[in-house]
Amino acid sequence: MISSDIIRGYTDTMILYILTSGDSYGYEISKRIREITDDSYVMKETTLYSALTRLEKNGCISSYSGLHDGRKRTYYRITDTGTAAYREKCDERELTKKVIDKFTGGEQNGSDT
Amino acid sequence: MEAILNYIGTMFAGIPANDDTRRLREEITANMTDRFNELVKAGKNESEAVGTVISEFGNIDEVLAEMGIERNTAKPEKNISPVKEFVHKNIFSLIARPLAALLLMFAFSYWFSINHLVSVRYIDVITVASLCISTALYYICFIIRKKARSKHNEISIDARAALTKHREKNSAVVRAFGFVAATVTAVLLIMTYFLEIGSTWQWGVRIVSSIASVYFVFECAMRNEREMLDIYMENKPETLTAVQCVFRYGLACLTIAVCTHYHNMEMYDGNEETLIFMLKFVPYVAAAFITALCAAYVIDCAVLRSKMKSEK
Repeated sequence: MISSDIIRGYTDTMILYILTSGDSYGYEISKRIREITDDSYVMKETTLYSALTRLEKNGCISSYSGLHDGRKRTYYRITDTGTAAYREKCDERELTKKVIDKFTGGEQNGSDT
Repeated sequence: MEAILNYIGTMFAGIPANDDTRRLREEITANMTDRFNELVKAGKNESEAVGTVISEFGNIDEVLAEMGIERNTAKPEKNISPVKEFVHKNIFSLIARPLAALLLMFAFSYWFSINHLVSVRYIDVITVASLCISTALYYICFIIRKKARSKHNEISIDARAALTKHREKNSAVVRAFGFVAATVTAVLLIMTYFLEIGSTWQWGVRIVSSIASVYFVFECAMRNEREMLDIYMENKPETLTAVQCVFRYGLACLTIAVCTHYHNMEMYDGNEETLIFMLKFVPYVAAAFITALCAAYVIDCAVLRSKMKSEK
């Protein structure tokens, strides 16, 4: 189980990643997160919507009304700002990984699982 | 599924209703429904699925913080009835509207009754003053409503739901009566132009219908608040509300009808003394009944207001 403190910094990144491969709506986004992580991580509804609100405020994504299965849903689309922010996050993640690996043994230690 | 909707309702309690919060609630509800269906399809039983869905909800304050919205009540008491919240917010309208309707009715009643039976000085002034005050009160209520709406200071989502639920459940009788009354009034109005019932009755019926229509319009406008007040007082069953409507409406019509008819009967000879004697007092009695009823209602509102103040 990953502590919520750790994962909080990455929720935006996860959502942006999913939106780079196409527009999506709330339920589909959280479903894909579950699928990609093999159910290791299930994003809470409120976490998802906090992140979506935040991203929309920052201009990283935009929303529009769409239909799915005859029901009205809000669809989200990544913007150019969002794509750039995503790249930044990826670079930052690489750097973080390098730094923290030095303290946790990183690639020198074998994995436990 | 019901459990999930109730859970969402509880989570959203005390959150001001605006476009953003409504959209959020719709989205979250749709998501949780889809997730529930997905779990059931995967083979979980309903209660398991509900448990999983609810555990995946999270903390609503997180989203509210992001949206910059604060909950309505910071008080620790969670069981503030959403209806009480609504009544509390609309207390001025609850008092002002019945008062305005009362003044309006009296403006018409007294014009037709007192003016013809006795000569009261300044009756014209009294009537016009009643009309003006009544209009002013309605206008103030309208402005307050408008201001409240623009400040996003609306009733919470749950109060709205409670309102709708109650209106659907308990006001069927009142609305049916209202519909019948409107139909009868309209029919009478039309009749007066086509049937030859004789000038006296035609005139009387016309007056009755016109006044009754005006009264009915305002009665409908008041219905919303009145029902909320009844819930809050918690001692007015549905039948009593309906009976009160019949009483009010009936007396209003009776007063006007008898008064106008009496005016015309004055011109006829050979009427029995007892009949005239009775008719002389009926309008006053009827007007007194209406006064007492409406006064009781206004007093109810005042009592309610002081109750709310002491509850604070």
